[in-house]
Amino acid sequence: MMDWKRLLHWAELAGMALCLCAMGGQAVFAAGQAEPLRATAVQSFCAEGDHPDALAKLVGLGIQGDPVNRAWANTVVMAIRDGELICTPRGGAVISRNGRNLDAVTLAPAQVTPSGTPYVPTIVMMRRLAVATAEMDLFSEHRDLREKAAAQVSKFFMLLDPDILRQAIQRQGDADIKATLELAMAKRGLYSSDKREQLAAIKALGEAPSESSRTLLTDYLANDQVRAEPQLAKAAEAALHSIDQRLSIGKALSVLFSGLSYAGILLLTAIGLSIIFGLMGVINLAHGEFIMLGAYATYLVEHAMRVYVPSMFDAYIFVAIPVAFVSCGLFGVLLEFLVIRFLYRRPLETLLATWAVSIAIIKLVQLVFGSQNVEFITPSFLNGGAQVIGGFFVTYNRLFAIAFSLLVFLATFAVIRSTRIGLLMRATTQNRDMAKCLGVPAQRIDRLAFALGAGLAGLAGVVLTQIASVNPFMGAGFVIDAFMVVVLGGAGSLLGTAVSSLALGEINQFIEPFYGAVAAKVAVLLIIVLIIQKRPNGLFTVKMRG
Amino acid sequence: MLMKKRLEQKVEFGFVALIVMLAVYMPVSLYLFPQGSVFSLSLFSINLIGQIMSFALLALALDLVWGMAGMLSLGHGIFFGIGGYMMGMYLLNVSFAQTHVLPDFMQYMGWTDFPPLWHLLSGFGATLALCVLFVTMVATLFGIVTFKSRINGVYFSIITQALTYALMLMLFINDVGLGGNNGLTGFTRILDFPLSSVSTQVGLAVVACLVLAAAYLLLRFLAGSGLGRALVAIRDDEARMRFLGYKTHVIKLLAWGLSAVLAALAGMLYVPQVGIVNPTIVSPSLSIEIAVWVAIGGRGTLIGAIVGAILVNGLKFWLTAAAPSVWPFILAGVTLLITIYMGRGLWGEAKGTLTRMVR
Amino acid sequence: MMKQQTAIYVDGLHVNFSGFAAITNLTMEIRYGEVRAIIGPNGAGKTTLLDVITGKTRPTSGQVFLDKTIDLSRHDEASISRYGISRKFQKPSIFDALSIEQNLELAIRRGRGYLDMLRSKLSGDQRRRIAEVSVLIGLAESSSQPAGTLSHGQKQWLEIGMMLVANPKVLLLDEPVAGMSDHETQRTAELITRLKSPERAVVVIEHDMDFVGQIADLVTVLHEGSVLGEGEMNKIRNDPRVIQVYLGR
Repeated sequence: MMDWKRLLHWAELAGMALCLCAMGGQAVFAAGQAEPLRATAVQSFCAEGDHPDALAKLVGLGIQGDPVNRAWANTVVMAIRDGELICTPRGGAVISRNGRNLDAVTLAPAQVTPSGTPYVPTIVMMRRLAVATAEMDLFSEHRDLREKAAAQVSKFFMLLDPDILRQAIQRQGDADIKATLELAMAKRGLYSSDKREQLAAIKALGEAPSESSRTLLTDYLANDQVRAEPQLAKAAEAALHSIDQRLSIGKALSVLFSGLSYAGILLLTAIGLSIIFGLMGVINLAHGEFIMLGAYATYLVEHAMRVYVPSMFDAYIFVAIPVAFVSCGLFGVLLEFLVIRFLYRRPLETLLATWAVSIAIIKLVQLVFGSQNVEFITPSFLNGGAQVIGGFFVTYNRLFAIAFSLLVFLATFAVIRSTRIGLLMRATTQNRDMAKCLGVPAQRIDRLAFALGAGLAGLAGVVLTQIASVNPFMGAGFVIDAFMVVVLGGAGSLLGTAVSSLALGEINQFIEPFYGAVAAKVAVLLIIVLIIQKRPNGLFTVKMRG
Repeated sequence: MLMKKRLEQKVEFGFVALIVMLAVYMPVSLYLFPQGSVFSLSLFSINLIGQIMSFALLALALDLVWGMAGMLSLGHGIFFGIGGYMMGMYLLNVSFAQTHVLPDFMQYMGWTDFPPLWHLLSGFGATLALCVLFVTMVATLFGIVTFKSRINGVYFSIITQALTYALMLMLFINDVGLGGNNGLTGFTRILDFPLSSVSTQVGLAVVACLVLAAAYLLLRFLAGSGLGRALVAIRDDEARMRFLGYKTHVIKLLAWGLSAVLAALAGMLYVPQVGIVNPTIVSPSLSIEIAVWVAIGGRGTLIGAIVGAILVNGLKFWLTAAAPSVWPFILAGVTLLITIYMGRGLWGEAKGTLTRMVR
Repeated sequence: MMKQQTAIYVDGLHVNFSGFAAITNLTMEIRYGEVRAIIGPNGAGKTTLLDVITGKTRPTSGQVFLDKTIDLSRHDEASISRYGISRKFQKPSIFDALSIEQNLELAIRRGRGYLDMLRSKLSGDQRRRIAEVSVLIGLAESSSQPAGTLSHGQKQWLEIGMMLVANPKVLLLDEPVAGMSDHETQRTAELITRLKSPERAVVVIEHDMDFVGQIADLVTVLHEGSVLGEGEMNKIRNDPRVIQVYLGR
């Protein structure tokens, strides 16, 4: 009688064994295919020794798509570099490492103990080995390896095999690395002996404007031999000219961009001040400290998320936004309740009182957190930047600042213009007594406006954590700049704040690189004084005549 | 009414007498009474008093433009600093004449001698004259631009803050040649006297007292004159004064210039006593503090400014030594209390109570 | 009445405040020796007219002359005041911190003589004048009292006194009896009538019609920035346009 269950069981086992054998066979087969290639590579190296092309076959295997071969080639090259390769008399080789001997081709323990001495690479060979490693790393899956390799390749461009480089460029996915490689290629072309290659390189550089290509061409033109050749010299000069043109556009855009980001910061810091000053005529010298508190609130969020929710760490900046807004808003309410409301219609006393509060807050923060700058880890999506065109590099943190400021401004604008609360605020700003007659609770509006202003300052602090250093004393510098913006733009006018932030931000960025921060500040002051003469209440006035 | 006036005068002159007495008492106590006795003042205290007197002069200068004329300047540190730095430059000149060693910062800059501009400040008389001249020029320039443009109130104050901030940034720059953020220090001599000697230090403190007393008398006279009344009227209603035919910007300019000179003198008195001048002297914070001294003491009363300066700085010196972390909170608390509840300041309130008692 | 010299001449005056036309094509002439009342509803431009004359506001177009030769739009408030034009504001703007005497002292100097101011020196003439005016305004006994302690009516008189003390050629009074009791109004009317002089032009802005009727030689009615009518009080009182716009029934 047949036992069907048992038969099935044995059939399964037999099937599995067959599959395994097949797979194993395939691997052996593949290895078998690779093996002769590897053997040839090893053989050619051992045969040619110090010959410049000795590494060629090894590298050839190393740049193939197959990661197994790449890894093998890397191992062998590194072994050569470390002086661990011993060539056997029959054309094979053994890798001797830490007392163990491995066959160079199979990487299995060697059958035979080698008799010869290991190959010791010369200095020239070392360089070639470095280049070879770099060339192979260009095809690695790991981006940082490729980046490092590209940097190496740039340094040793003369030793490169142009074909390999071309392949690397073709197969390179990452734009930055590709650019580095193309630059290296161009360098190689510039310094080749072939005139056509030089011309081609010049052309390539001219079409890829950047500071580095500019330097390359300038150095190239400094060469007497080049200047002697009119065709080369003319081509290089033309390329340089075109690069300069594109770069100057890039530089101009760069200045505009940094002006825009500075304007964004100014806007964020000034918008709260403008609302408070416009509404209540209150000069809040503690405004800088609200900014600082917002930054420290961000620090607490960052720290907490780093410790408790590290997987979501990058989102800390988004979590910090409402936290800073609300906490600073609450501080604002506290300040208004404890101090400001007693000093209604006494602007100079308010100034002194808020100054007193500011020194207390600074000391408190200093005692709790210390005086040094607080370290922040930038969220990954805000790290680095992108090159838009030559000479113009956009950093993501500044882009974020600009976008955020715009968003906050639009949101505030919407609230002030479209909501009922905003209407009440505007009414109280324009004619307080009349508004009170109409039943508007001016005191409560004051409190709300103060909270809003303080909250907005807190938001400024959040953004500043990515751009400026955060310490207890950071507020002072921003508060004076913010007041300048408000004085120029007109207290209480949102549009005025926006326009004057833009103007002052750009002016500052145009002057500062040439004449320094002091000259920029003085220039801004002079402009403000001049404009105030004609329009004593700022560019955009909110209060009506009488 | 007349009795009140007479009482007021008695108090005012009495106050001056107090200051002069202090000036006399300091050397007397040092030389006549043995150290450690209850009646003696240590050299350290005398030096401190001298510094505080300079601050009192500075406060007086601010009270002239704020208390009397209504212009809250939050940038008087600029004039204080100009006086201080010019005095510092003179002191370095005179010290170099004795030691023949260039100040550290000049050595770092690679200089082999003082720059030519510094030679102007090699004599005390020249320094004093140039300082007064320069400060007057700066003050007049600022005054012409701001007063003619009718920039007042809070905007005026903010602009003065911004100016002092800009000056501070400028002084931080090493290339400006004024010692960068370390400033000027290493003074050994003033006139022909070694700064380290006891008599020089006492002398400086005495001079500070006497200059303060003289400035007070001057301002008292001014306050009681028609010009002083005009200033007060401008403070209370500048537009009305213009309609009455007064060129208010000129009058304000006069007061502003005088105030600037007094502040510069205060700086010149302060620096040799403290032995160093650096950019913190023109920090925005210090300029606001001056206003706080005047507010706490009682603005517009002149005596109040002096009282406020003495009180706050005395407390500050004591507390920053005894309990440094506490001082900002105490200053903040006192300032808040006074601004909210005692608008007339300590002396102002005291005067008011005295007047009521007399009636 | 013999025709006197022109004191104030307004020619085609336009004043615009960012879109709002406060005064439109205003032409009028005020002579020495007369008391002119300017009346009209609120917003008619009365105070703006005074602002232009005293130099506080610049005309958008048109001209204003003193004595037909001095172009007032080219001068600032202080200079215009020194030319002899004095203004009294709606709200009494005297200096509370100073005494009555000190207020008058300020006014009589007209901002001249800094050295004299420093020495608190007044000429004999000036002292006499101050004494005279103190009596005139009824505040002679309390002249060293702080002005802040005066009643509303007394403050108004002090302000008038401050104007008189400088012996102005043109007196501009903006609602001088606003907030005054009947008695005080009566006294003010007497005072103003006494002020009439061939060397002086008095311009009064007021809403109290009885008061106007008492003091004014001529009345100018302003409406929406232009002259609606001009003439003696009786004529104006019965002018249908004026009644419709301002006086009512």
